Amino acid sequence: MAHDDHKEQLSLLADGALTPLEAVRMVGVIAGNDELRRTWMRYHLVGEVMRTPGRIAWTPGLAARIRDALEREPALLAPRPQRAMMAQWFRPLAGLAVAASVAAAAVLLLPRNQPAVVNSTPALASAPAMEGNAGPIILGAQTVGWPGENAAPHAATVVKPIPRSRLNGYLVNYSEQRALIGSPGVPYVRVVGYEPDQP
Amino acid sequence: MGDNSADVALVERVQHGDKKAYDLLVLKYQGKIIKLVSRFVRDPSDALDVAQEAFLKAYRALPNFRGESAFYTWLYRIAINTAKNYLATMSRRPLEAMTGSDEDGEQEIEDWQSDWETPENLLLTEEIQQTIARAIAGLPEDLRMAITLRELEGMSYEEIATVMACPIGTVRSRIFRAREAIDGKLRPLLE
Repeated sequence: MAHDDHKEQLSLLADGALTPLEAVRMVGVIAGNDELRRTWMRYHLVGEVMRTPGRIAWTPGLAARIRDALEREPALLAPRPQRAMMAQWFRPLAGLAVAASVAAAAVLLLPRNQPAVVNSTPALASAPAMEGNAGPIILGAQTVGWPGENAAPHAATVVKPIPRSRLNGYLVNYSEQRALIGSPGVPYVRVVGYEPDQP
Repeated sequence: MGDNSADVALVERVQHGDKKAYDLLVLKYQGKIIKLVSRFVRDPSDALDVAQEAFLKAYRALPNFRGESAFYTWLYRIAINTAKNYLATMSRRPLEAMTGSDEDGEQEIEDWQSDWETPENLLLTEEIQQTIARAIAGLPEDLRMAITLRELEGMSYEEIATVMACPIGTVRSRIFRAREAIDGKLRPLLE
């Protein structure tokens, strides 16, 4: 016995008005219910008669013949995902997930590794980014990290050494900006100059 | 909204080994395919054989169907090729090639129609058409308009909602109720 709910879903399916997931579920319901199968056939027959008055091809035996012939056919067990169709609704979701992950990573990492002075000093904020990496900086064999961090093994693989002249530029800019705005600077970082060994 | 989504779901199930889902595709498209094949193959019995062969070929080829075109478009091409192959095998001239404005071609089509239109077929198809026409005529105005816009004009639910100035949920309900009313008259005739 087919419920009206199922028949209404069948009507929506015939019009392509179900979501892909609902459609797959409903197809499973119809395929296992003879009454719904016949209703499905009649719904389509009505549509065809309405669209092409005066001439219809009513061949009730054809589906039964094909059903019998299919019994002798092996079932198709080589599922091919319909990438083109799935991608239409799945790809935007995947893109959204990636964007959300990047945003979450940014929220988690930025406050920790970027001192507040970055936001309050335009000159520093607009300085060239250090290869987009907020991790420790490596100078030759030395690693300068945030207190309590032991990130040298990771940093060695992702951070390129910064040229001495560029680093000195950053330090000078930082000192100048700090003096202008009267900021005490980051309390736990000692500001040091960097000079090559002098004879 | 696209009518294609039902086909996509059905094809997916068939590709996962569900033969009953293919039966639903056959039930949906059998009329169209028979009419298409009949443009090439005059004899009704042969046309049924060719249509059956086309559906079986499509079933066997479904693992290679990647959804780059609509299922019906793909099935249509298979049916055309099957009919042409049949004619090549039988060394017959496609009936379609004779269609057109010339009177001889029109005469051939009429002859073909008479091949199909046996008294029994004529009686049944006329009864089906009249039953459906009467059922539609007896529908309340709002249901008749909804089903007509959907089936005849091919409008989406959203478009029908705009034309009828009502919510989409109402459109869904009206179309379903119209179908049920028509089906209630048609069912006794076919079962």
